[in-house]
Amino acid sequence: MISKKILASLIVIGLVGLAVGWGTRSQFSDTEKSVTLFTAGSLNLKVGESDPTSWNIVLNDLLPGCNGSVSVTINNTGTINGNLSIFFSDPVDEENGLTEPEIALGDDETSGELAENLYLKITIDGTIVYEGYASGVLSGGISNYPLNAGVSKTFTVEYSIDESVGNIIQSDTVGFTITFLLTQA
Amino acid sequence: MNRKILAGILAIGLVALAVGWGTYSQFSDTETSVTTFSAGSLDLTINDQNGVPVTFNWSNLRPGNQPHYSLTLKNIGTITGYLDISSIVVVSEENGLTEPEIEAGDNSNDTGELDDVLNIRLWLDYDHNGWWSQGDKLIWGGLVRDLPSSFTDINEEIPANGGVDFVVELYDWWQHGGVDNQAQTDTLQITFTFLLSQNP
Repeated sequence: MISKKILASLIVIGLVGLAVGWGTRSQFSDTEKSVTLFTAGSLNLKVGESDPTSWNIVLNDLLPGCNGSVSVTINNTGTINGNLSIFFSDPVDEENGLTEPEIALGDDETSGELAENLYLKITIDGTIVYEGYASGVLSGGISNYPLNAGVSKTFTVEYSIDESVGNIIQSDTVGFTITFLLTQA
Repeated sequence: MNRKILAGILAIGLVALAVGWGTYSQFSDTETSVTTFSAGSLDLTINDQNGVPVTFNWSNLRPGNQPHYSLTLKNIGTITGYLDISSIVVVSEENGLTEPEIEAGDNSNDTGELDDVLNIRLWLDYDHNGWWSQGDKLIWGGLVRDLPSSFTDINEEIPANGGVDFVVELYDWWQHGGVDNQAQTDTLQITFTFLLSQNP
């Protein structure tokens, strides 16, 4: 008796289910599809006009009393925000031989004197990266400087040599490498 | 207790590893620039001598002589310089008195009279012929005794690897009559110091 009722109930449920299913087919309907793509962002640092950068500073025939500045645009051309670090490496300090006026001052071949007489002020949008003589530039640098996607900043190197320096720096060379590193914020 | 500490250390180790791994796999981009500053140089030579005095000697000069000599001043540096004569020192010596000197009225045994009777002309010899001519740049002319102790306003521009001829000429030693005899055996030494500087 109970078994019969259960069976009947199941059949009824089955028919209702069928009816509902059938009914759905005949109702109005609409379908929308959503395609989901996951694309990685990009982080690309551009220094100057070309990428990778070809921006180098080469200044010759500097004199006591001279001053000037060189600038370049630093741009995060990627799609995600980044943090910029700038650091200095590979110092160069060369005598390049002795001119007669250098010899007259007792100069020798060991190393140049331009490094301790070339004053630098290196900034990015006014924030100081390094200020002091070129001989101490390795102690300079900046890290975690925000550089958001699409944002440009101006990197500037100002230099000057005091007029009183005189002949001791003649023909000397000083140099260093600047590394710009952009990491995801 | 020991087990818990060990597990703790192990957990920290794993977290550290995960952080390390994470740092390596982040996006980054690097750009490098090479920076080079070089100083120029200024170096003056006289007749291709550098740091060594260049000397000219004449002996047995007499009235009517017109000795002259050229100094080629070169800038062997890398930048343009401006030339001046920073110092002129004249030493006039008597070297004892001859009888004609005394007869001519010379009674001083301390200083010579050659600078009183000899004229000197200094110029930049643009046509390199060794003689004063049109177009050359006269620096000074007159009696040696009136020669200034420097000429700091010549400002002759000499580019890198350029040069100029500077001529010293002694002239007009014949118009002083008997006074000329006062200069017998006298010696005149004139030392010029040239300065090449970066600014005019």
